[in-house]
Amino acid sequence: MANELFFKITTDSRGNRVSLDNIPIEAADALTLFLESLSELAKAQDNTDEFRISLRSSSVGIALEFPENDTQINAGINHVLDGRSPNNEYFKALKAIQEKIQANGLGYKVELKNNDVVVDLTDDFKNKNFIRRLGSRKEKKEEVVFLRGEVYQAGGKKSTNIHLTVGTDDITVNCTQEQAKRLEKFLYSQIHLCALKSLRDGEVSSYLLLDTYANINTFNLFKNFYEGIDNDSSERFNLIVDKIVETIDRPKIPNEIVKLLRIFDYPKVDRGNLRTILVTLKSIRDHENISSLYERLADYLRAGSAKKVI
Amino acid sequence: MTARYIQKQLVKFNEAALPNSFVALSAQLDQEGNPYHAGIVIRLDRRNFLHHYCGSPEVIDDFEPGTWYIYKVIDIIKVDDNDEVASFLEHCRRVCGKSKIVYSCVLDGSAYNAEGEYISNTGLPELGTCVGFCVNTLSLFCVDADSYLEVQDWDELSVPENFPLDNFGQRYTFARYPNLDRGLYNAYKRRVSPLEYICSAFVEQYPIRKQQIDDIIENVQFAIEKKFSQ
Repeated sequence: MANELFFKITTDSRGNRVSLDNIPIEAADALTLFLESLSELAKAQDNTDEFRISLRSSSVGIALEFPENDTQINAGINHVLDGRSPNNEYFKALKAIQEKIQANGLGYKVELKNNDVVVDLTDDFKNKNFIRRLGSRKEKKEEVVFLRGEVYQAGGKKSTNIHLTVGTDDITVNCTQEQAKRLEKFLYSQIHLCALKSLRDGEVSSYLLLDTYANINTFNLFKNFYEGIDNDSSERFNLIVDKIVETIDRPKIPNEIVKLLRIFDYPKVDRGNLRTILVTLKSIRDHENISSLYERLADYLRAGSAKKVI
Repeated sequence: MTARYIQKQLVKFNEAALPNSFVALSAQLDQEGNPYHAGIVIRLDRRNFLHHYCGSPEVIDDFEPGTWYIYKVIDIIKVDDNDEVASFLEHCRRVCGKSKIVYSCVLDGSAYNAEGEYISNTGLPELGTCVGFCVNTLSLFCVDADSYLEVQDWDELSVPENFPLDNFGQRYTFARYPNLDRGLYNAYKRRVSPLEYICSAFVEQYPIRKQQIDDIIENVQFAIEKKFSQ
């Protein structure tokens, strides 16, 4: 038996059941769009001989049927659901269906049948925001991490660092002398910090301190923000703009902005995030509290530019 | 800047193997090979997009330009850096999502902010040509300059006498804004032509001065003619 991606219109916008011999216009519009989108999805395959569109007479339903041994389409659909689809045809087809499902107030049911296992995708289509992955995923050599741990040593002669216990692990975080002096006051206490973790051959090679947070609320604020943008979607740029604009609009600007900038204060920072931050803050770049940090971040962008022009 | 360099850097769409990702200033040519419409081509991971204003501001996804498009990659956004190119594309989408631009041969140095909102420098509403729209979009992304072009270098003489698009723009603008101060409008009547716009992509100091464009405009025109006579 074939696998299938099945869309069913269960009720009209007043909650009345609908059927194939009694289709309201709003449902007919949705059905037309489903038909076109599923057809486009099928045409994205190399060979459509064994693909079929099936209209179901028991309800207002439409399915794209595809062979059980076709793993490509299953993976493609799941990539869209997970927000990591590199395939524009899949994304466009399923995004169009999602927008219709989210927009017009009809009742829907969405199911993916894979080798007799049926997965209900209704919530995914109703509540997620399908996003397209931009570009090829890069293997990370550095990543920003947010850590909570107990400091048991701070300082050092040749290299300055702090040692802390995070969970069951003891880690060393490189830092400046000023940072070490400040953190020495917190010996044997819990601290919250953000660090750049460097990896070599998949193993951690070092940590570099980027910032510390006075309390769990501030820590969570920046951790949650960063986790929201630590992906390849273009939506991350909007989140950065919104976060900065929201912060600038408050009476006390700079400290929160300074803390935000510190998360991106390392040379190989994502240039898309960095460019977005710099242009969003362009009008206040000369503010005394952020100007030096802004310039350092701008230098990272300049350094990667072929003609040092940004 | 030699004519040979210009000819090599100015690319006819689909003429050559392209980098996977870049931002380029682009112009559409008429049958005589004269640039008459401007846009910004954004190529991201081998997909082409066009940010432009032609009746309404829009980003065209999967843009297919045909043969009558020419462009020059700009270095201000790092070529083949998907993240940086994507951040500019998203800026263009924000601008197009909010823009209410009305056609006019007016350029007053205003620009769009990071949220895509038009911030007027002069009190004039959002007015502009296809070139003006692109220039105002680019300005924010010039981190080290307030604007992409030094627009004060252009004056009212940059709008040709009885220029049909100027007449059209004035009718359109004053129908949309009947109480608009005509003196203020006239004070910022300026036009950067699509050819000047393409020339600006060869200059790498911002804001770009008109003289820098004038210095190369003949060579750029010659390069375009040569490409389309082949």
